Amino acid sequence: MSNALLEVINLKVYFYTLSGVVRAVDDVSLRVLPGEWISIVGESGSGKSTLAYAIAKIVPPPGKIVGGKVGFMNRDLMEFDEEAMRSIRGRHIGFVFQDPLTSLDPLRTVGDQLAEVIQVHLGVSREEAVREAGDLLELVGIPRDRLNYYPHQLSGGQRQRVVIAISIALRPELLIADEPTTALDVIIQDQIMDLLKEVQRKGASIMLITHDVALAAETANRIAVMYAGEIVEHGNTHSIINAPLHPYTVGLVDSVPDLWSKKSVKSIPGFPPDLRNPPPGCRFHPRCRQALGICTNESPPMTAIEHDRYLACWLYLKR
Amino acid sequence: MAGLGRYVIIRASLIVPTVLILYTFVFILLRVLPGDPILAVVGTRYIPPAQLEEMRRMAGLDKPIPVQYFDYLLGVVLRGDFGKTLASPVGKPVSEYLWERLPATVELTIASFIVASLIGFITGVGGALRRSSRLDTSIRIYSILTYTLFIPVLGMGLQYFLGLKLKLFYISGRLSAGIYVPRLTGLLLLDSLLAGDLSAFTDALGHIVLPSLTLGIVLSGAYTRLIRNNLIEVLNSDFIRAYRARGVPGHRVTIYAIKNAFIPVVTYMGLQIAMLLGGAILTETTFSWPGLGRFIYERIEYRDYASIQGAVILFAFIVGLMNLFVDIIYALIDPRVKY
Repeated sequence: MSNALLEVINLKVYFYTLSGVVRAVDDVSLRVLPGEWISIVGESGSGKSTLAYAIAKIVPPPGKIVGGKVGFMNRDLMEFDEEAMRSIRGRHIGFVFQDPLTSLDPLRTVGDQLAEVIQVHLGVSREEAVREAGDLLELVGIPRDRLNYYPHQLSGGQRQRVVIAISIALRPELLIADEPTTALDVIIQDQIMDLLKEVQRKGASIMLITHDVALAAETANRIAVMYAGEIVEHGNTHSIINAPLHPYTVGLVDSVPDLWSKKSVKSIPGFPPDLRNPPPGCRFHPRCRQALGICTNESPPMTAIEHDRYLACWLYLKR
Repeated sequence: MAGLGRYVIIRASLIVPTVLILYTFVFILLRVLPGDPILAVVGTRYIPPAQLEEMRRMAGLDKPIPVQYFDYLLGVVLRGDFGKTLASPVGKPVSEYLWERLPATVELTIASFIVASLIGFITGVGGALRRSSRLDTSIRIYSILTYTLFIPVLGMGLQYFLGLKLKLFYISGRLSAGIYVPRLTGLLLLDSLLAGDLSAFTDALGHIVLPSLTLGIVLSGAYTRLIRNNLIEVLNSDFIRAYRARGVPGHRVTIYAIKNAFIPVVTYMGLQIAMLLGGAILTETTFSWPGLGRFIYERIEYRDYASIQGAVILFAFIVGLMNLFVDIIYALIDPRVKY
């Protein structure tokens, strides 16, 4: 098929709530190459986390994957049943969630939780799994005697390290980190990012999901910008940050405060749309200063405007 | 373990104010309540006023009220003396009654507690795992219905259908006439088993089913709701999603979730002991169950101060003890509790 590690094609994830169908991810396509770092940027509610869950097929109810395809290691995950998916999750796709305070079971020691994932996937003995768990802790910079600690006995940063240790225990090909540093202070944030870089250096692809453009740009090879359930612009980090094209990306990049310039931070007026009832045409048009007539009734197609640069905006498309 | 020892002592010392407050409350309530213990015993018989005064003096009721309050309290604390009953047989130590009646109440509350937690656990977990299904909806309706149930009404309903119509169980008392169980613990189910008397055991079981089912059902709804809601919350929590994202098998994740959902329930169990004993009064009355609850009910009629005070102190003490027990369990299962 291709040399991509992950190939998401026209993925649709809808939430069937009492008050209507929320189109959290609508027709999203994305590919991740082996060993690359891709950052997915967007406001909260833009569907970026849902996209991540959908890749591992752990979308919480009432969410459902209603269309599209997820290709991973040249296999179609849509055809995998729950049991087969279980052997992918943790083994080939690792997850780091936002809040390290709540992503560990408070009633079990970190060693138990670390050893469990090794045992579940490799079926090794308890002793071997515990030894391996100790090695992993040391790898992420935590003394091995903390194996017997309960999560509440560790600091937030240490907990996130444990979560990362669990997620890389089986050397997954893809590590999805969903806002891994949002709940942590800046110093710890740096350490966690360094740790993720280390994981990438060892050969894994990283998918970082964040609302923070600066963080997204820090280490990513490529950036995908999500707005209201769709990817609006997608390309290598350099071109996205230095020459953003989509008005939403421009707004996002402008909204990053710069410590050294007197330039005031610009915000994007308005609010993201209600995904139960998204606006017709381009979903960004009600907030877009440059909106054209066509934007209000026709959705712009995702188009390759140069090599590895994709954009969905009428401003740059010849009709 | 030294830490746990201190924790237990601190928690145990909390029993003292609990008992004291309840005693004070019931002492005042009894004095405020209309009626007079001596007149209640005498009834319509004519007794010369001088003799009434003499009776009052012997019962210590002529002393100032604060003196009565401390006399009784000191008697209990220093000598384990719960006073003497004024009702017939006059002068029998209240402690003897308490000793006779306590096991019946303990047996009933344990059985009801088992019924309530079993029903609560099965329905609560079932509802949470099949959330928003028809089963879940019925379970939620059940849990709300139990709040509206009045123990005597449910009790009489069960007596009528399961007792009188279907003749499955006995409708009153603890044991059929003519059956004797030697007393070791006072718990008939246990004593009959220890004595190896299977027919007595079956008979005692046939008696306890309806009262414990009545009290158990009424109390189970709260468990159902608590367990269901906790489990749903835990199932939606980050760490459960993280377990799934790590490829941990579903049945294991469910067990971890149930363990987490259970911690607040343990606390609630301690709080519910008080409701269990409160419910025991109504249940024991409905089923002529010769326990402490029914004892209190009988003695209120006679304004038998000593008996009621003694029973309430014992109740409060048991509630405190059970809460202590629950706290210890809580500390042992939840690593976050510091002691």
